[in-house]
Amino acid sequence: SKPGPSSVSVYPSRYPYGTLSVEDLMQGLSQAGMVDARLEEDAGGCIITVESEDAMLQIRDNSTHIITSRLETREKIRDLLLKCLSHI
Amino acid sequence: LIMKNDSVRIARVCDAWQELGVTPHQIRYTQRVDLPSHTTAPHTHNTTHHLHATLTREFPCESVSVGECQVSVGEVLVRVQPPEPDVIVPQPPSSSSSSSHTSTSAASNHATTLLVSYTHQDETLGCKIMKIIQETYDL
Repeated sequence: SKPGPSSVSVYPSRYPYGTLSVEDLMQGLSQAGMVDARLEEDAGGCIITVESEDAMLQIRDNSTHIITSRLETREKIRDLLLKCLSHI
Repeated sequence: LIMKNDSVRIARVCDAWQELGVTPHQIRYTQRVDLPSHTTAPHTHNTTHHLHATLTREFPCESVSVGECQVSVGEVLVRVQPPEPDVIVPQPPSSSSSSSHTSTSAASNHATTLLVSYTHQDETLGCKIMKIIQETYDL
């Protein structure tokens, strides 16, 4: 159904913090079926590309940017990220 | 909500981070949405303003603003990218002519792209905007 006009001020249930373990994330991606995940280092951190899912992750010390065109992929990677990060 | 030394108090998120002595990890999502050419307004400018009108109507309680090729709702940004320019496709030489030919590829393959970008903190709003875009453009 179509969402009605309203103010959307819902806070997330978890606030992640700290540095991401890229090794853990790569392992998680593989276990989630994204076996073609490819890790490359760049100047500021690293980039993971998952061609089969049309997804790219740009990882820095305290930030991660997920770029994709698929809703399911975004949610899968989000859940993996939250598993790999500490949170309050 | 911070519970410490037998007391409970409400703090701003940034103050809580500072008090805990940890650095937040910011997660940002950018979702790419290709609008089929038949559902798109003919120009990027029109798409931007159509999107602005739609989101203003849907989110009367949020701060909705429009810029050149982008609309923002609160902290969620929707960027409108024009279709890729036509690609020159070389044509095979005709047996009846010695001159070479080129033509552009079919325009129907090209689409305006929306980039919807939001942080983990704004995920609920970002997802609502994605849903509205999908319904508006019949995706």
